[in-house]
Order: sequence, then structure tokens, then C-alpha cells
Amino acid sequence: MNDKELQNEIKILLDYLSDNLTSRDRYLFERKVECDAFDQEAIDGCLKISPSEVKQDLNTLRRGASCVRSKCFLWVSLAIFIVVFIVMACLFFPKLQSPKHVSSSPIKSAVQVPAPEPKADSVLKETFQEPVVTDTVVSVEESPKVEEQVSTGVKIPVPSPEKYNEVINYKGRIVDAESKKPIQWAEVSVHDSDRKTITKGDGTFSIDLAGSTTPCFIVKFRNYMDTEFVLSESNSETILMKPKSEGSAEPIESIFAGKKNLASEPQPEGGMAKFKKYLAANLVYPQDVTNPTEQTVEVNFLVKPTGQPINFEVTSSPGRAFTTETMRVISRGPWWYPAKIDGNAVMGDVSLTVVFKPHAGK
Amino acid sequence: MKSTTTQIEFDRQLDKLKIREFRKTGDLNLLKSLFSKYVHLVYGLSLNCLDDRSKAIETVSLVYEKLRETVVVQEIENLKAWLYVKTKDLCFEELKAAGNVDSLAWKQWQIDRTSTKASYSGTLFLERFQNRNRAFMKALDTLPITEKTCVDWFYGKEKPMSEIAKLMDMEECDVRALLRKVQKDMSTLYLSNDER
Repeated sequence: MNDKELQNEIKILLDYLSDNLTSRDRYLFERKVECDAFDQEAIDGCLKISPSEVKQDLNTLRRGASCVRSKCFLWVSLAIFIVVFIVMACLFFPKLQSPKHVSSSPIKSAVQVPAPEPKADSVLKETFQEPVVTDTVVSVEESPKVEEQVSTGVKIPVPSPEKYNEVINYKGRIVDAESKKPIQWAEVSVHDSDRKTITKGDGTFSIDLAGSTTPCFIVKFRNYMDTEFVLSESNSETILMKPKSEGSAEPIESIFAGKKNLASEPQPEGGMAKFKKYLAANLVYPQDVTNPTEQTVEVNFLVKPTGQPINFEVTSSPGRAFTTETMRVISRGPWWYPAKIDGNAVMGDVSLTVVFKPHAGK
Repeated sequence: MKSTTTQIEFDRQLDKLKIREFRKTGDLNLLKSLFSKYVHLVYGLSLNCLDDRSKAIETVSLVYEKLRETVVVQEIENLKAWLYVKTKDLCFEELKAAGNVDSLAWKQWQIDRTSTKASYSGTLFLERFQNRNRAFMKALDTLPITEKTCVDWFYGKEKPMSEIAKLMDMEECDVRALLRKVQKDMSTLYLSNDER
């Protein structure tokens, strides 16, 4: 959205609040607002005060950046002037006291110190509040250290102080140690940190870290051993993950059994227990099956960050009718809470074992 | 009709591209222009939560600082959603510090902040209505007469809330509240299979 469009949008908002829109425009604005919770609550807030006050505050916020910048410039100029004055005083005051250095011409501009240019980025950054003269790096380690990991004996490299203020991008690729196939959705986390990411379809991942953070990572994925590794800034490395048991992999654990970290994996609305009840109540055993017995269908699917389940893949099913019924019930089921990494919703995968019991369902 | 969802997705991708560009170039003007796009929403939301103009303006500045810090170290997938969550978190922190927080609202926020469904319910409601989704329309018929009339007038006959309020002899804020209540109640009936 360019400046003109933004100005137009703010104008429409102010016109709406002042009741200056036509009926049709008013309806279109309201329809757009009602589509999003953020817009809804923002309009509720703006309706609490008068339109002129809203306009005044929005103008303040827009002007706030330039006002702060000019204030900042004044303070910095003053500080520089004082420093220069002190330096000149230190240089010339001893000379004035000594009789040998008395000259006829007044010492006005013997040393010309050009006014230093104010730093463009670190001080005169446009902000919406009083400037904070700090760099944008989140943290700086004061005492870098070298340590050895007890588990793997890997030496963690010392971050270079020159790169403390930089953001460094690390890349890698996670593959199966035996088949060399890429591993998707493996969790790659930073050693001694909450930072995490997941691998893409080709097994690659990319993570940006502050220059002060040690590039030591741990990758985890179900049925594979946790693997620790160190990355260098320039190269993209391939990391091999070994399965937990040599040869045959362990069966995929159903999410009906055991406890999982609810904060990081997709969960159905209302919890798993409620989802089980929903399945039990809605699954209909296919009618044209002779000698009906208890059957299971194993299904994997993805949950989008919006909570929508997609990409259903049935890995094991006694027949097409069971598959169809499973997908019908799950897709019409409750919404899903998406997986989260660092508080951000991400794509997550779910493995379900759906049990069909004869003479059950509607 | 997918145009609303498409527009939302388009805006989201555009924001993501701008953030990526900022992370490469470090050009603060980019970040400032990106934030300016949503500053009126952040301000309105802060005002709604805090009921204080000066505190709302301060909160806008705080949100911008948080954005500056965060965007350097990680990519934000959905800027608008991030701003919404961050603004509300800061507002609740402010209220807690002042001892003015409503515990029910706080608890509801703890649930809603993890639920993306809450933020998308309006868009999906509009789409379901415009597509005349059978199950959805059937469910609408079961609503109480006041709610059903509001929905028909707003989404069907495209009347603004002020006119609906006059027609139904209600306050405009009541019409707004009623429509949002219907959106929330109907959100459990969304059929994800229809979207594929």
C-alpha cells in the first residue's frame, strides 16, 4: 500500500467516524471491518472518542517521527558542540597560560575541527518515541567462552566480537543417514535458546541468529535420534539423522496415546478427548461389509497455520469405504489449533489412528 | 467468493516480502512504511483496551519498538496477526501494572490469542454467506429471529448498520454486537472440506 492509498484509507476511516460516507460506502467499510477481529476492535476503540480526537492522534503519530528526529538532532548537536568545546579548551588553555605561546593574533580558529556528521543509522533513526541509542541486536554476550558439549564432544565456536551486531543466516539440510532422503518438519533448535525452526520439503532449513549467538543446533524428529551439530556461516551443510532402532523404524505413535507438548503440535478444538468422542459418535461403519470386525485406518494430514486440515494421506486402510468415511468425519470435525514455534503458528502434521467398531455411529 | 481471502493472503505475502527486504537492506523507511499501514489499527485497538488516548499513543510506540527488535532476528509470517497479538499483550500488561485488568477478559484473551479461528471467523462467515453454502444457510435459519434479520439485512440486503438499527429500532452498537455474536456462534459450523 503506497502513501496515497494509506491516506485514502485513513480518510475513509475518519469519514466513517464523522458519518460523512454514503450508505453504500458505509456498508462496504463495515463489511470489511467485520471480516477481521483486529479491525473490529480498532473501530470499537475509535468510536469511543470523537472523530476530531482520532484525527488529532493519528496526525500526532504520523508527525511523531519527524518531531522526534528533529529533537534528537538538536540534542546530538548540542552534545557534539560541548565535546568540541572541551577538546578545544584542553588544547588551547595550557598554551594561553604559558608566556612563550602568546601571539599577537587572536586564537580564534587555529584548529578547525569540522563538525562531525551525525551518525545516520544508530542515532537518527525515526522512531515513534524518544530515541534509544542501542543497536538492533537483541543481546550481546559480555564474556564469550569456549565450552565442550558433554554429549557429543563438539566444541562450540566462540562468536567473534566484530560480528556481535550482525545478523547471520545459517543454512543446512537434514537427511536420513541410511537412505539419504530429506526429512521434512524436523525441528531444528538453537543450543541454549528458545529459537527453533522446521525443515521444508527438501529437508533444508534456514535460521537467522544474532552474531553473538553460538551456531550450535539440535535437530529432533520422531523415530530418529536427536542430533547435535555446528554450522558455519558460509556453508550449507548436510546433517545425517540416524533412526532410533537400526533397520525397521518404530511404529508412528498415535496421538490418542501418550502425552505430547500441547504448545507445539496441532490440537483439535476442545482437546483430544473431545475429538475422540466426536469420532466415536460420528463414524459410520460401512454397510456393505460382510463379517464386520473392528478395523483401523491410519491417516496423516497437515494442519495449516489457519487451523484448516489439508493434504490427507491414508497410510493404512482396510478399504475405500473406510477411507472415505474417515476423511468425511475428520474434515467436518472441529477446527484445529495449529502447531506453534516461538509463538507463531506454523504448518504441522498429525498422525491419527481411527478405529471403526461394528454397530457404532449414526 | 474467494476475493476477501485472496486479498488477505495477498496483503500477507506483500508484508512478508517487505519484511524480507528490510532484513536484507536494513532500510528503516521500509519498516516505517509497513508499520504505517497498520498504525491506525494498533492505535484503535490500544484505545479500545486502555480507554486512554495518551497511553494508546505510547503503546503504538512500544509496538513499533517491539517490531523493530523482533523483525531483525526472525521473519514474521503474518504481520497483521502479529501486531494484533503484540498490541493486545502490551495493553494487558499495562492494565495489569495499573491493577485494572478484567480477569475474564484476560482469560478469554489467553484462549483467543492461540486461536487463529477467532481472527478469520468474519472472513469465512462472509464467504459462506456469499457462496450460499447449504449447511451454513440451514444453520442460519435456526437462529433467533432478531439475529437472523440482522444477518439478512447486513449480508443479504447490504444495508449499513445505522440503517438496520433504525429499521429494527435498536442502537447501532447493539446491531454490531449481534452480528459479531452470530459470527462467533456460527464459526463451529465451518466446513473445511468445501474449501478444497
